Amino acid sequence: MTNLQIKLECPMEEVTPVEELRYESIEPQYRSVQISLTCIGYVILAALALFFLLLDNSLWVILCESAILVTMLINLIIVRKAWLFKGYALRENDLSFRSGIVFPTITTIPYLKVQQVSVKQNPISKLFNLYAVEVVNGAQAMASLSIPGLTEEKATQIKNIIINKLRNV
Amino acid sequence: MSDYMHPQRMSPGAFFIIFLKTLRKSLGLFITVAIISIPKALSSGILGIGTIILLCIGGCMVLSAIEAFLSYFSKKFYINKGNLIFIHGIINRENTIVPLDRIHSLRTKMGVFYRLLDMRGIIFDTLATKQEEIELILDEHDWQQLLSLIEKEENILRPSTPNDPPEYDPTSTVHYPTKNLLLAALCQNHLKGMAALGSFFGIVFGNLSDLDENTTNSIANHLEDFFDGIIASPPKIILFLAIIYIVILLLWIGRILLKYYDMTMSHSKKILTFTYGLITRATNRFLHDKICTIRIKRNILEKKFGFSTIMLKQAVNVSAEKGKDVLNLYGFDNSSFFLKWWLGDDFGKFPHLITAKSGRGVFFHSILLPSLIAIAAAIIMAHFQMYIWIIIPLIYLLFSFVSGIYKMRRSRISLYSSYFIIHNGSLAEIENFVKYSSIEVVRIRRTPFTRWFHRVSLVISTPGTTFLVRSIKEEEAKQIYELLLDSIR
Repeated sequence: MTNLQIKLECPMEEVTPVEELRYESIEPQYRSVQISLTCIGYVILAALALFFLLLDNSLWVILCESAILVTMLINLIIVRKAWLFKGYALRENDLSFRSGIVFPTITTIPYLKVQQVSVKQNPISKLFNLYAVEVVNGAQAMASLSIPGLTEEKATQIKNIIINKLRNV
Repeated sequence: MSDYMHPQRMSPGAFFIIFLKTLRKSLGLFITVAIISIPKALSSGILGIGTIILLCIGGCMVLSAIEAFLSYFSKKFYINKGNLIFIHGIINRENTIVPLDRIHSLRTKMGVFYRLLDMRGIIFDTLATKQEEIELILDEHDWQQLLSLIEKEENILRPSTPNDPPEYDPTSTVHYPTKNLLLAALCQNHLKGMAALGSFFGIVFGNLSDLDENTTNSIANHLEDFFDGIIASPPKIILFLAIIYIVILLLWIGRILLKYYDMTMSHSKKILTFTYGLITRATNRFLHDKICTIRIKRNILEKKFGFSTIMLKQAVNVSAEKGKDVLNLYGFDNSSFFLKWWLGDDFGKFPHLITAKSGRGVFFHSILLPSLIAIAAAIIMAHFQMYIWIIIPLIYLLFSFVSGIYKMRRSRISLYSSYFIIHNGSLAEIENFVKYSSIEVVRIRRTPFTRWFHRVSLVISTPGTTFLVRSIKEEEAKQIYELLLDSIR
C-alpha cells in the first residue's frame, strides 16, 4: 500500500517514508507569538518576584530579577531554534508533526484514528492572524496533537484534508 | 423550522439553563461574601444586613447573567457534510469538527433545571479520551429534529453497518482453584501489601485527633520506649522487621483472596466474562474487539510453579466503571488460551518480521535516579558519622544495578504478521501483546546522545496503554515506525 506525502501546494508528489518527509515549516509570525507569550510569562514572574522580595531586601531583588532576565534571554534564543525545527507533514494515510530541541520528536497519527479536529485561535495568535489545528485521537497518552502557527488558509486546508481522509477510511 | 445546515445557537431556553447553572456555581461566592460582610453590617441592624444580602444576590445574578449571555451567544453549531461543527469559546475561539460516524454514543441529560423548562442536554461521545465536552441544550422539538438529521446523515455515511453488541453465548466455563490463587499470591512481590498496611495506618493516624491529649501522649511514650528498646539490639531489629514482613504478607494474601476468590471465567467467541470476589462478587466483561493489550508476566517463582500473571486491558473509555478496564489474573497456567482466543490462529505460527533490542541506554536510564538517591543518602549518613549505615544505600545501588542489567537485557520489540510484542520487566519477564489495530499514535524520540550512539526511543500509544521502548538502533526504529503505521491500515 502506498503512503505518499501530500504537499499543500502540489499534492502527492512522491513516495515518502517518515524519515525522508519534507516538513512544512510553520509561519514566521509564530515566533512573534512565542516571543510575546514568553515575555508575558517572564514579566509576570518578574513582577511577582519584585512584589515578594521588596518586602525583604534589595540585594535579593537584584539577584532574582537578573536571574529571571538571563533565563528569559536564553528562552528567547531557544524559541527561535524551536520554531526552526517545528514542522508538519501530511501523507496519504497519516499526519506527522516534528518538534523539540533537546529531545527532538516526530509524532504520527493515522487519519483512521482521528476522532475530532479543531481549529483554534487564542488572543495572542489572533493578533498575528494565526491558527492552530488540534487533532484528537483515542490514545491513552498523547491524546491530541496540535499544529500551531498556521495561516487561516493552511489551517482550513489541513482540516479539510483530514476530514476528507476520514470519509474515505 | 431549523435545518441545522447553517451555524445556529441552541434553543432560547438554553440561556436560562446556562444562567441557572452559573448562578448555582456562583452561590459559593455569594455565601463567602455574605459571611465576610454581615459581621461588619451588624451595627447597622437588620436593614444593613438585608441590604448586604440583597447586594450579594443582585451581584451574583448580574455576574451569572453576563456569563450566561457570553456563553450562550458564543456557542453555535451546525451539521455539514456529515460533520457536527461546534463553534465555541470567547477568549480562545475554537471550531471543533466531529465526524458523525465517529460519535459512538449520544447521551442526554434532564436535570431539575432542564425539566423545569422542558429542555434536554445532549452530549456527544467519541472514542477520544481527551475530547471537548460538547453539550447542546435543546428543547424537545429541536432535539427530535437534530436526532432525525443525525440518523439520516449516519445512514448516508454507513448504509449497512449494523453495530449490535455481540450476543452472550458462553461456550465454556472455567473455574480457577483457590490453591493456585494462594500460590500465585505468594509468588508476587509481597511488598505490595505495604499499600494495605499504609491505608491501615492512615486510618489509625486519622483517628488520633479524636483521642484526648493524655491518651495520645501515653501512646507516643509507649512507642518511643518500644523503638528505643529495639534500636539498642540488632537481633530485635531483625525480629521486628520479620514480624512486619509477615504482617505485610498476610495483608497481601488477604487482599488477593478478598478480591479474586472463587474466580470463574465464561468464554464465548467474542466475550470473556469473569466473576470473582469473596465478600462482594464482581463481574467483568471483556469484548474481543475492545481488548487492546494482553500482558503476561512471569517471575522466577512463577516460572518454577508453571504460572503466569495475565493482565487483560481494554480501552479506558470503553468501561464506564473505574478500574473495570483492567483485570489481573493470578496463578493462570494457560496464557496461550487467551492469546489464541484474542490473536486467532496467527499466534505462534509465523516467525517475527523484525526485532529491535534496547541498548545500554536502558541501563543508564534505570540507574540514574537510584544512583543520585544512594549518593545523597550516603553523603547525609557520612555527615552524621553513621558509617555503618552506608551499607543500606550501597545495597540499594547494587540492587538497582542488577535490576538495570535485567531491564536492558529484556527490553525489545518484536513485530509479527498481525500483532507485536513489547518485552520488558526487570526481575520478572513481561510480554505485552498488542494488535496493530490498537495503535493510535506512534512517536520517535531522539535524545542528546543520539548523534553519538544512534539510538532513539519509540513510543506507541493505544487506547489503554502507552509503551516506551528506549535506546533502540535508529535504523531499526525507523523501519519499525513505518511498519507499524503501515500495519494499522
